[in-house]
Amino acid sequence: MKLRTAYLSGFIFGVGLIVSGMTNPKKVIGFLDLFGQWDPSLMLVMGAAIPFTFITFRWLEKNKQRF
Amino acid sequence: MTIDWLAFTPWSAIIGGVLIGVAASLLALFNGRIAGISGIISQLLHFKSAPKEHLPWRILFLLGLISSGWIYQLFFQLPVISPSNSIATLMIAGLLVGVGTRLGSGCTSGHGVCGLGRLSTRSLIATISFMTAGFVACYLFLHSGLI
Repeated sequence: MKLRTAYLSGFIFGVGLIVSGMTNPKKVIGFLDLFGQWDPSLMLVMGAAIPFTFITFRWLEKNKQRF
Repeated sequence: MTIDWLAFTPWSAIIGGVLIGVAASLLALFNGRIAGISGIISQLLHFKSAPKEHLPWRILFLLGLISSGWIYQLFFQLPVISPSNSIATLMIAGLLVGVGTRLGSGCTSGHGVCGLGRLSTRSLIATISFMTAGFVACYLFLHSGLI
């Protein structure tokens, strides 16, 4: 069970990176190029991911699971 | 600062971000682990000293991560990536990323997605630091004319 969820998590993570364009170094450099032609995509990737981890970790904290 | 509207892909960024958030949540909920990719890889490389019970989930997570690209291209077209750098440059850059993420105890996944999600001050400082360093490095390499 735990091995399946670990695989699934890695798999979904990877698809997320591909879909978001973050497997392309050009997209990452585009975000870091704040003083040139700026591509804010990476900010939206993090902005979309964090609410999920926020809710999850809050729930886990309430149920006394420590990391 | 001008926004590159042609390169900006808001919808795919949001959809991909949601998937990454779901993936990190899955690993936290069912495995009780942080989806910090630099950490997982480094602990695998330290397999002699790292606790043995953590070996299987780390391997499976990375297998999932790596196989996702292969499975994805069976159904959809992979985005075109054409790095203009030499293999030597890529290797040095990769090595620097590894050293940096170890020094900072995490990367965009561990500190950024997971750490910020659990409101960790340490992760906030780490994320601000590596992003700022990235902005400065990018400026130095692309616009300053110094490098």
